[in-house]
Amino acid sequence: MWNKIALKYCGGCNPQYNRREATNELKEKLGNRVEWVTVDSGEAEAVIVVQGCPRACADLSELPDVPMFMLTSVEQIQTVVADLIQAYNQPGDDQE
Amino acid sequence: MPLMTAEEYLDSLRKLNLKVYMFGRRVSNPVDDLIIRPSALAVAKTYELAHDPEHEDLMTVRSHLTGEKINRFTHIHQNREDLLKKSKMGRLLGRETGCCFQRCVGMDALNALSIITYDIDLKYATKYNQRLLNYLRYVQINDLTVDGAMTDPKGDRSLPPHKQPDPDAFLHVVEKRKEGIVVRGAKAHQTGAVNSHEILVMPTQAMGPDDADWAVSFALPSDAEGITYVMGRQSCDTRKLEPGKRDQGNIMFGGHEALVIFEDVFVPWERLFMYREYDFAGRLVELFAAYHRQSYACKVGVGDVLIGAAQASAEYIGVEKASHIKDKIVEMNHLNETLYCGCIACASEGHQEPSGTYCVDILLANVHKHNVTRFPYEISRLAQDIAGGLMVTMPAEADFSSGEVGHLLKKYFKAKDGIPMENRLRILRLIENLTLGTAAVGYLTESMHGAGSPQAQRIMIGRRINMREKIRAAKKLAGVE
Repeated sequence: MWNKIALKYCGGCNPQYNRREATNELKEKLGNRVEWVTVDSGEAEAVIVVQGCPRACADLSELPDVPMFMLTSVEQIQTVVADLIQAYNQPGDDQE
Repeated sequence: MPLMTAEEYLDSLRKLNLKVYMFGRRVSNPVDDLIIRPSALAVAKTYELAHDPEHEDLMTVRSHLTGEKINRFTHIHQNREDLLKKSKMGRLLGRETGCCFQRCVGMDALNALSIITYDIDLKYATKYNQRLLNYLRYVQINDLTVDGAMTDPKGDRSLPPHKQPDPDAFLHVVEKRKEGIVVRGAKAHQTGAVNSHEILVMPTQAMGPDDADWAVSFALPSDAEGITYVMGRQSCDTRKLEPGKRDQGNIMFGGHEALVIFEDVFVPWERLFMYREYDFAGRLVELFAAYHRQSYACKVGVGDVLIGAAQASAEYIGVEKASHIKDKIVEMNHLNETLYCGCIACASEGHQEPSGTYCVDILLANVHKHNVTRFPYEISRLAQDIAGGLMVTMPAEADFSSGEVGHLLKKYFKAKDGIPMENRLRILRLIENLTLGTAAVGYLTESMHGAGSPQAQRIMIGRRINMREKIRAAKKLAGVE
């Protein structure tokens, strides 16, 4: 089991990519080693912030004081996965 | 109960005892009436998305009064980010519903009154602002939908309220009692009125000393004794009564307007936010109008839907690569994003009023709304151009089920291979709905007249432009002393 990770979304006023598809892909790449929790659960050890565009206007003021990983485009999915692997020194599904 | 769910909201409407008339009959249960229900579902979307992790960042905010998480539609803007998020929320909801979701008008009324009550108190040592904040707290805690009601029928437009042959042409005070006042009159074109828990009344124009009885602002429960609602008709409205859904175009949501009549309605003092302070009526109208003109950010979201429908209709028959189709789609997007620029700009250039409330830039809000009176018409024209005549010549859904002619219609209205005919027809009905059906009330005529007709914005633009600075710059460059 990896760390407990939460997803935080921007409001989605005019997203430049399909945020739901992107998070599904992210979850697939991270596999079942992640336990997904909610932002306000008090359990999150990291938060992935899903921003619909580079404006990245999601309100971060009430997020727990844990590492944050920003996703602002589909192209960044692999980067976020790699950053998580590096941060927690765990192999992802696609690297096994 | 700081955040109601959509179902809780609809249930709360069922508990109201509204006196609603439509087609000459009293409607006993507006929420579940087939014609009214889509509009209630559009408001319900504002509750649903507040619980959706993918949208709560726009839809919710911390109350500056209670610290509780509240729906943004009950919020007083505390900074420019709040103003920006309001514009963005409008686009989001316009795109998710494809219609007017009705809840912005109450938010705009609350924000305008949060400023004006403070200013009246400063001049006259009244206690309106605290009353309004008490009321706001009630609205926030109960997550209520408020109908902001400004537009009077106005009778003879050349006459001020006190000179009207019928004094009820503008809503006014008819009696003063120890416990409050009694009012009579009406408010016209009230968007979402029968989907609201509360009605928040404001005067409709600047007024003079003789109009003091007409300078009144107050809030009441929407089912208060003496209030009657008469629903407005919409183009193609009775299609909602037909079996089948396709011919409705938007099969989920809609809007509504109603005439709201006040027949000697009692208002307690604690619900009064302006009483005879005629010298603040014009400023209140200006503030409310500016906020509400910003709110036409929603039309950008509805434009997103229409552009998507136009593109899909082209793809279904294989013309999407034609250069003139691509150019028209680009033009539609250009116009739509230009609208978005305006609602973002007036929020970005917002400022703080003495009350603490942030207000949009009034000039830019008027410029934005003025564009809204024009661009949706051109976007609609282009959508109809791309859609083709079938949008309005297509037989009814029932004909496609007919044993005699159904197979012929399916043969002749076939789209390109791989595209179900049903998809093509549904998209064309949606374009019809938005450009000349029930949703055209919101996307076109409301864009023209809602929050003030075009001339109202031109007057404000004329007032707010600094012409002397422009002349100074020109003279300097031309060498004029």
